Amino acid sequence: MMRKTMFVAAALSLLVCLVTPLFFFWGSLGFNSYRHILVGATMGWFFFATWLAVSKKT
Amino acid sequence: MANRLRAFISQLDQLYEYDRERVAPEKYKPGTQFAGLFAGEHVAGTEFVIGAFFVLHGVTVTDLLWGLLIGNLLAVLSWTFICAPIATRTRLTLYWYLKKIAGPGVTAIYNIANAILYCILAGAMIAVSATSIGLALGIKTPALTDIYPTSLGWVLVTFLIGIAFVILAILGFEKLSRFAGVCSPWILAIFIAGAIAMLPRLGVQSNLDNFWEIARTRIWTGVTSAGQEKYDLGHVIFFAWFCNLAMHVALSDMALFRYAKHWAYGLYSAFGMYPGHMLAWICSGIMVAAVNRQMDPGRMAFEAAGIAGSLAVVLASWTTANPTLYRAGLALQCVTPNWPRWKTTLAAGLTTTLLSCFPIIFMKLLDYVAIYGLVLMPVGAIVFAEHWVFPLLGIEQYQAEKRKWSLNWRALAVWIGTLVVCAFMPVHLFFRWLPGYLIALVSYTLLNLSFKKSPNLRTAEEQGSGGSH
Repeated sequence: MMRKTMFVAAALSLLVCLVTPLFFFWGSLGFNSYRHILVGATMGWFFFATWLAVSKKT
Repeated sequence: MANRLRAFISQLDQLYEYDRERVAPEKYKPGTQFAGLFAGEHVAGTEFVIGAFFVLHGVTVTDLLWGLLIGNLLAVLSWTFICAPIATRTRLTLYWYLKKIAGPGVTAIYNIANAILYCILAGAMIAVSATSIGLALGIKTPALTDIYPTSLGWVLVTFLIGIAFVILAILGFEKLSRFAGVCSPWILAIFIAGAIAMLPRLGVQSNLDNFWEIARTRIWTGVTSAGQEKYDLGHVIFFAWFCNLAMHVALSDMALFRYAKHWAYGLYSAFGMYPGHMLAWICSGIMVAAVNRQMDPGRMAFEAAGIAGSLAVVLASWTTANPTLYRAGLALQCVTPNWPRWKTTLAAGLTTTLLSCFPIIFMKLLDYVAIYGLVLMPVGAIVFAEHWVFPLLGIEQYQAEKRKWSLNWRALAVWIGTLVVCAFMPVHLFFRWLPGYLIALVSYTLLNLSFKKSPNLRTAEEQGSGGSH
């Protein structure tokens, strides 16, 4: 269950990385907001994906 | 001298001992693993530079798209029809197969050449990440035409990054390889994000109505930047094709495909080529156009994606430099008998770090990639001739192994001779490897015609072997 949750969270973080610039491109998000969200989603991705990679090994 | 050579050879054999045997069928890997491996390996820090260079070299948008489609297809087909079939028939690494063909002496020379080429490649990656960290520290990136270090700050940054990369490569190669797997999907996402975010700056409307017009007139304009030569469709096709020449045509990836169930698994290389060597190059082209064509990967990524962009440059470079340094260390062990792996990695790393201080390492990256493939290509042609052409013409295979030669002079002469001919070819560097390959293939076959077996002996051998491989 935990692995599944982490997988979904990692996938969502990656999706946010891809979707955020689209909102900036369409004008519904400012440049700074886009950059901040990207950093947040990046941190999310590394946390969840690293957790998944480590738990897979152990 | 003979004793020293024997010591080198014995050292080399010990290094590769674990993959001396043919891969057993129960160890074959499913296709999805090949897809994942290729997808993860081909989004490196250098992608930030290569895609941007196409813009600076005045490639037009149609030449770029057709060139990348065709060139990457040719690369995929090279993996599928050249590398994978030999690997799945022999189930050996290139190291062991080349040893049967050309003898341990040529294998040792191949290893040293490979180590040097790896060091230069890793040096380029260190320099690329230095542009990102240097930006945060206010250190100016060298100009396109610079050959030598331009400031003490640049030397210090590249040196410190190089040392950090080397220490990490020594400390934990396997853990870092796993971390590289975590990084790769995100790095590709940042490439795409950065390119999308730069579109408004280039004037692309939110409904994409004028995208093609902007791509044609503001990104891939067909106009070269100062001091750059003009590239056209042929250059793009050949670059995309030979970018991984050492891996497909020169057969390094036999190490990978010996685990494939079928030679058609070579087609899985498309999972690496089209996202990494097409999409990422297009994205970096858009980013460089948005920063007024300044070849500064760090600035380009920061302006497009902020801190995440800077991090992407560093991680993309690091995750690729890490295995490159490791492989260089491994290859160098043949000339440093009794040195532990950490010591050879350190030696390779220090050389790499020194090289990375010179801006020419990444400012001439496209030419270097061409030379890298060119130097190793004749070895691929020799192995191809021995594997496919010799049986067809009834020429005896694996003479070095059968006669216990430490060095197959014909193989070495063809390798060196081909490179000499390529050096004087009156065509652009990018186009030399293909005629060079054919020259090596034909000349190696011709030089071995004297070893043609009599028809009676052939029949007896074929019956005796029962169709080996």
